[in-house]
Amino acid sequence: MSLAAQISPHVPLLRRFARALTGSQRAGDTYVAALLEALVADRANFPDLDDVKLALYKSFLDLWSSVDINLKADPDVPAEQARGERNLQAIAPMARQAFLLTAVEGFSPKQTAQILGIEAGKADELLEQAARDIAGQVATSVLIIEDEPLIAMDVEAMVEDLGHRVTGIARTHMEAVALFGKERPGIVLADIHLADGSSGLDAVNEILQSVEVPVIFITAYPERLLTGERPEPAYLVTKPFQPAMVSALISQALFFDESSKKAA
Amino acid sequence: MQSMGLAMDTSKDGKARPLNEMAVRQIGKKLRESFDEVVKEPVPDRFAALLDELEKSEGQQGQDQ
Repeated sequence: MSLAAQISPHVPLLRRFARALTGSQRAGDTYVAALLEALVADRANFPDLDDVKLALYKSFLDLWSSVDINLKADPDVPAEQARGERNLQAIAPMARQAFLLTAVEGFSPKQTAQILGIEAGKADELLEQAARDIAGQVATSVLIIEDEPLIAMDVEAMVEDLGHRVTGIARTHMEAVALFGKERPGIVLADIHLADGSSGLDAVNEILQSVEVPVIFITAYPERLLTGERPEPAYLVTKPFQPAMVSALISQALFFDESSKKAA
Repeated sequence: MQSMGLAMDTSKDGKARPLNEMAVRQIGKKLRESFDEVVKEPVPDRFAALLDELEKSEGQQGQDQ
């Protein structure tokens, strides 16, 4: 089979990767086109790997790291990029490549090492660096609305472990609004049912009237959220919760939430 | 309320720990979904043209295998 026929099924995926890596579709496509042109001119440089898809990504990255196609002043970039895509650009280049190859493109760490031309252990290091860079990028301050002291302490320890700072722990609707007014957090973690009979949902609704902030609800009563009214529970955790799941949700909410950029 | 828990060493120097695996997986999955359109849309004409050109150039150079 010709090289063209072998690589063409992978071109749509390579365009996705190129966009994620460069931060814009235009820049990504420019690199993909440059790669194809280079292959037309001379395909002897196409890497000799058993798997043509790996070889394609490898030759793409060789080109990307050696040629700086200057599209940094591209005026389309900021408007086009969602929060998540902007956060990607904050990851160091090698770590970003490793992260995108595994987390988005679905390559194994071993394949990623082959594509990057590095040792397998080095790929693991890069993946850890990416996870660290993302954690640093999304680090913010957190308001906890929770009336049960033990759960509040668990949640506090968990968010601090993620590198966030807790602005305060509110036990009631009134306290929540007061604490939010004192220091605006980058994210709110809210229980629904509070000890004095007040509602974390009402507190969050009151807060959201004045500002946008991402909210994760942690509740033993998820049905109380399904009222069809604001706020829509984009992030909902049911008690008892798994700490790993809550921390993953916090990171995800901060990575993608458009409103978090203003608060953090 | 102050916590003197194990988290202090990470927040003091402002450095975060790496995200846990679940967070990395979920962020990857959501990113993949956000790029779905790019993968589904037909490959732009210039890429098809370049692939054609590559195909032809291979014909001229003769097959390696």
